[in-house]
Amino acid sequence: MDKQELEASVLDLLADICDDDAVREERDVDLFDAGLLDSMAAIELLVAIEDRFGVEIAPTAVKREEMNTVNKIIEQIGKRL
Amino acid sequence: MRFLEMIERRACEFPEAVAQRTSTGSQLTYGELWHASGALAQELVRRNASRTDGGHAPVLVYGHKSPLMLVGMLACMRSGHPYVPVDAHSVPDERAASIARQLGEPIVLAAESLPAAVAVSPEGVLSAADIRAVAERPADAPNPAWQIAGEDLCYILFTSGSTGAPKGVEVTANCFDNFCGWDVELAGPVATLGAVWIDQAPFSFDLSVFELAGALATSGTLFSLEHDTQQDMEALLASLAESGAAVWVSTPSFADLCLVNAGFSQEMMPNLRLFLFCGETLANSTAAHLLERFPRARVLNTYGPTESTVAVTAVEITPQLAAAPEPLPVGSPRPGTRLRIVDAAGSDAEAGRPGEVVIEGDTVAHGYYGRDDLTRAAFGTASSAVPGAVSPARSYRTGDEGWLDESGTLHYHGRLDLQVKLNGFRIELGEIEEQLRRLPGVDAAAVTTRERDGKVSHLVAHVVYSGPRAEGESDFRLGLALKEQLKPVLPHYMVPKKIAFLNALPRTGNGKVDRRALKAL
Repeated sequence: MDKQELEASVLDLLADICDDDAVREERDVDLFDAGLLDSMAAIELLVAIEDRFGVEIAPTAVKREEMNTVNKIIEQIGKRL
Repeated sequence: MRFLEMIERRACEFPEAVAQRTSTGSQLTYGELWHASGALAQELVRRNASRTDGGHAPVLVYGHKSPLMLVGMLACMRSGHPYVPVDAHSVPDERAASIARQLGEPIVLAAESLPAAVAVSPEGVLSAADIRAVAERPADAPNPAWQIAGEDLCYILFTSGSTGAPKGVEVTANCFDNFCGWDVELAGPVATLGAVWIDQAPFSFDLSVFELAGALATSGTLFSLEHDTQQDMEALLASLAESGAAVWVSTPSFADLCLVNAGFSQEMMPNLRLFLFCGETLANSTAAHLLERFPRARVLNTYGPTESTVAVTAVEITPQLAAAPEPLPVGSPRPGTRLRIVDAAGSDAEAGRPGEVVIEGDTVAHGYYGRDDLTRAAFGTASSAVPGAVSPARSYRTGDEGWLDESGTLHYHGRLDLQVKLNGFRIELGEIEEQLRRLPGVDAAAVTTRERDGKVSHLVAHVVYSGPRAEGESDFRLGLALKEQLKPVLPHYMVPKKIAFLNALPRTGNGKVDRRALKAL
């Protein structure tokens, strides 16, 4: 999977979990502050990332501030692919 | 009050036994709890004496999971004052202020510093330092005659109200004691050896009374998970592992959060014998996973609104029930409770047919604080004597829809109105809509739910907005700005995830907001 495919795929996933297509453009908004992710949704996201990309990120392995924006989430997955 | 007698006995026989441990290392023994709450009870009586109305002022107990909260709540019971628990982390400042206003002139025990928005006269407030100073005073035991008893109010718990302000449910000493007796029975032999109980829900959520009453009435230990611990998965798992807990009380959502970690299992919590769930629908899959991971533990599902004191039905979820395609039942009523299923006219529905659940019994609350109108609409006296009831039996129309099977087990269908449960939190959509409408520029608002796997996953607000917009401001950015304005007045779980903007709200033929159409958007 190249970088563009990854991005597109993560954006689809986040638009679904955040229930808002605007996150495709707003990639540096803090998703927790914006009320788009909470601890339940974050867990859902990690499970979906594992299903879709085969990348396992344990909930204990990342701090909230390492996965609180769209760009950081893409980066975290990219690092592990 | 029998609950207090149990604590006193433990405090006298084994003062060193631990009543509460917190995940960040605070500890309170039964001896300390009994002495400190007694000294504080004396102080409350002294302060109340200067009041002109002669009544027992409600005491707003503000804080989180600290021992001071426990001491404060118990001091209220021992001095005849109803306590009003307000959790510093889950209740935003403006909402705490609204609660204080409804209480008139409450005495405040501020285990954590009180937000400036809560406008009460400073002489009515005891800070954490004040409480500690009082608690360490050598003091005679308070007069046992001061204790709350019978139909005295024990606590007033504020829940979401559909008209924009929270409403206070008045739970009496009888209700508390009667619930406590059943709680201990439910835990059974697990609780006879001074077991450790997981304490997760904020004290302003009555689910917490399950462990508070259960643990302290059985000489057990509350293991309180503090806010910071609950925010950090690694710290949370470490705390659970070292808790030594035998009894687990939480919403199913909290268990789901833990289940994502493969290590959450009987190996991690070898003493765990019982899961008690309340507050929202327990999914079959959650129960099945827990039974698999914790082969030595039982899973109990329970049901009950705050207005009937924590819970009134229970059922053990067996692997067979969990594996069945049908949703899990919520259980059969406790002794002293009768369930009726009624139709829209209030007549008993045909056997096996769904209808509104009416709860009758000796744990049904007294009513809503200062709201006779709301009380009259939902509460009444029981239709006839309730078998097993040991104190006056009242009735409460829940607004829940359900049906009873041949064995008398209740099956829950959902709500008849706009109340929803999100991660166990009880939410009146009308309260959110009212707060949205109060924002400048908002002309109309309706809030709907989105579901995932049969459960509410989040809230969506549909807003008609005619206020100013910054140049080029997108709907997304405007939505963020509105959400920021909701944060001071609503708990975080009531702030909608998404705000969608419309030119007008769709209406049904009779002029009501067409919620079905909104959900389909």
